[in-house]
Amino acid sequence: MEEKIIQLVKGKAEGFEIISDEWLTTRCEFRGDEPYSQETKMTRGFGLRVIKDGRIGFAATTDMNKISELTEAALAISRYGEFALFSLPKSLPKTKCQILNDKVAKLGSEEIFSLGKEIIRCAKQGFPNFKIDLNLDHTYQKRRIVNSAGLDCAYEKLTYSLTFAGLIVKEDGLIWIYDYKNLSDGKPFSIIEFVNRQIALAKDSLKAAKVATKAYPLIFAPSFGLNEFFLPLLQGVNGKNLQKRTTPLFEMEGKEIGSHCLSVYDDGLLDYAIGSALFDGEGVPKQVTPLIEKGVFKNFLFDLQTAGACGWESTGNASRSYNSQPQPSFNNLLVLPQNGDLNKAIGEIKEGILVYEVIGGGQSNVLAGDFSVSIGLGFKIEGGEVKGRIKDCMIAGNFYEMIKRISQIGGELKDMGNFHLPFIKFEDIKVSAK
Amino acid sequence: MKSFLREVLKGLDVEYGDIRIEESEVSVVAYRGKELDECRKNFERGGILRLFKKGNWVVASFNSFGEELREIAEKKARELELFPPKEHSLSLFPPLEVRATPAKGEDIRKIPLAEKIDLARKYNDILLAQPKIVSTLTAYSDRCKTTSFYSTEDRYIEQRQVYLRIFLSAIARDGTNIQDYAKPFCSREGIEDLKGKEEVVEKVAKMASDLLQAEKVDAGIWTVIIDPRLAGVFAHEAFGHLSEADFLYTNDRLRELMRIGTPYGTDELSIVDDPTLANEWGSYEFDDEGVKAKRTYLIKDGKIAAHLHSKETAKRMGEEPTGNARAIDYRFPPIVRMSNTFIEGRDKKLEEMVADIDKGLYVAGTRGGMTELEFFTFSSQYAYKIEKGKMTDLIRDVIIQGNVFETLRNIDAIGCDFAMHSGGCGKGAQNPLPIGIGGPSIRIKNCLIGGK
Repeated sequence: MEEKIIQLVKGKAEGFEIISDEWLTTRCEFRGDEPYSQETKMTRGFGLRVIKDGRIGFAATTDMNKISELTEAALAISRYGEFALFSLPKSLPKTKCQILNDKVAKLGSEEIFSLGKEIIRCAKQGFPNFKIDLNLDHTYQKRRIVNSAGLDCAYEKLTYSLTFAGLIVKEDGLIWIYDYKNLSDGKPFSIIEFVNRQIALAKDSLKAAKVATKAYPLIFAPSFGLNEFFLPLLQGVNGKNLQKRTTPLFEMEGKEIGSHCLSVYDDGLLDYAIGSALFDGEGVPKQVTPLIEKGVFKNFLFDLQTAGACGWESTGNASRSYNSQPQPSFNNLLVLPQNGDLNKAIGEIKEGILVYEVIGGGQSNVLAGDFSVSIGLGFKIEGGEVKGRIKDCMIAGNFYEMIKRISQIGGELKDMGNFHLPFIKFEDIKVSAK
Repeated sequence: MKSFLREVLKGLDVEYGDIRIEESEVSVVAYRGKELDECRKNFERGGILRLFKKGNWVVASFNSFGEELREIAEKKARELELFPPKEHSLSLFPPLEVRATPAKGEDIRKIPLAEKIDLARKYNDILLAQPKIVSTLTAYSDRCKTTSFYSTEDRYIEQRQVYLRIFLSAIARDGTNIQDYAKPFCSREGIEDLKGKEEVVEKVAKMASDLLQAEKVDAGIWTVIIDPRLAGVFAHEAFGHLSEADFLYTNDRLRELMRIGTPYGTDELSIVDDPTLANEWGSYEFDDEGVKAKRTYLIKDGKIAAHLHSKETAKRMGEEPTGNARAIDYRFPPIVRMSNTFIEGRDKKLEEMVADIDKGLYVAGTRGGMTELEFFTFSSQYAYKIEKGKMTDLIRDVIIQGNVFETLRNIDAIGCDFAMHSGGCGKGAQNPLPIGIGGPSIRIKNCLIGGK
């Protein structure tokens, strides 16, 4: 099909790039402790970017009968498109990254289902009052990029992950305990170890504790909630926001923006990570880009066009699927682990807060760094111990202010999808309570 | 198409099956700052099939058509045997055949690209001309979608739907202070509805730059008035999601809280979900399970009146199907969703509501909202202080949170300034689904506000 498109576009534009995506996704879903559905997605689509008279045009299709309409639309759009501020890559330098495990690739529905059943059985054994929703996602992806500069590259990638949501129904409200596990590397997986975290959280959340409206030391455990905390940084380092000068990090390269113990990277080559691949959506190799090192801001993330506009080079962060033009986006966000131990850190706090999940992240002024959220799953720490679950309270903070108050970072990374995070301890965080 | 789809499902060992084929053309023109950041056309063709037996579902979506489709259906039918059998079944409907009626108005696929670009550029230039505006997003998009649905009930339904939208966002900056303000407007009929909005566009830019001067709100308990857009977000996010029966049937406690007839709030309070409204963002004629759309009162005169259902949840809860099973596109199976959700207007004037408040907030617009069952959070775009019965200073970063049932009881005045707006709703991985939200201004006592 790519070859057919090339035939149609050749000679009509000075440059072109075809991205072809194929996915086979299988999701096994459990609801309320029971197997609920088995869903397969078979997707195949093509995107065509042309450069004609220096301008960019783009169109995409999943309809194999619409190849000539696709070409015509891309060429027509190029009349109005932006001027291309880049040259298409000619070849792909060698990069190393594991993204497909054969054993995991061959897993069938039956094996995936029995893993789900076993996890639910073990979790309920440790905490019978759980109502568990579970998703197991198995995705095979094949991507090929061909362009007029001579590049023709492809990769196959396999991701396999599970998302856990345990519901506890209490008289005074509902509690959700979430977790995630990336199983793509095919390494032995201890179900007991996995469910023990949820069981411990469930038991702790049965006790209630009260908070007052004031500033506390706050530990953010690696969780979906901590992922959301980093959303402002992902906006801030996005080259698009540098180009538009809408990031607070504008002209901040080399300046200290956070605590000395904070180092953050975008790592597109982390083995078996959700955001890893050999190359990005334009055929540029993925890489490891320092964002913050020892509190000092280092780099923005770029795709080709944004890099061109900012006088920079692509950092291998063109994010897209067949149906859209590239946009800069992160691959895998990684906070460099330090030496903190979570239990010890809790033990040292006289009065403080331990947070797992938040509600409403990403809804405030993310660009400016605002981080105003309700605490979804959080605990009061008193005298070095987890006292009980807190509710009806909010954190009102700003990412760029809060990273100055980081006093400790955990020694162990947790894979939470595209985020690889240790626990982070902050001093003096304002919490408001009802 | 009907006979092709019927053949794919014919004779499978299932209780129920359906196939939905979707063909769509999408066009996007988006300016960011001065640049035409995105300009594209997409031709999509794909489908999804679902099979049901003994309480279990299997689903497959696809882009290839032809004989392999029958093979996929047979393979999926075999996978149904992996599941332990369950008791429940589905609400089924009598045979029906409905052929596509052409969408109202023009064929949006024929709108020249130059016309879309001119419109987007004109609005974008207005935004950029305002002081302190450093960047913008002015995105025009349209989508023409034809769906063919066939189910083993022998229901065949063709629908054509059009969606046109302009999303405006202005970003103002003063040193490290960055503020933005955004507003969408939409049509389900034609591009003419999107024209002539210059005044609205100017206000968007002005609000973004005014917010640079605005103070943050003091955290605490406030009496607030929420504007029609935020009232709609409240109706949708805080309450509407709890009415979705797929949340309810697995959760005894919530089902008890949401029992039909349970009183919440004043007699004046009615919350409605209505997909049959003309030219609203969340409207449709048939849902994605081929069930005819209808108006449903979620709360009527202060009491819980109904829940929103799919074929599965209606049967499981022994209630009437409501035609609320929707999917964002052919890659997803339909799940229970809202359509246009709003609080009905009453007779109180906004000035009267403000006049009664000694110290409070008028909170407007929305950056979105989130719920975790009865617990909700939503962020506003701007707010004004109310002091001694008058609106005074502009403030920002006002976030309201609370327990929906308590908040419903704390509503003490319902306005007459009813308005509908468009929005996008996320549930599971399906985001954004076109929805309508609306209401009049609403006054709520004892609201928890997060802030500085």
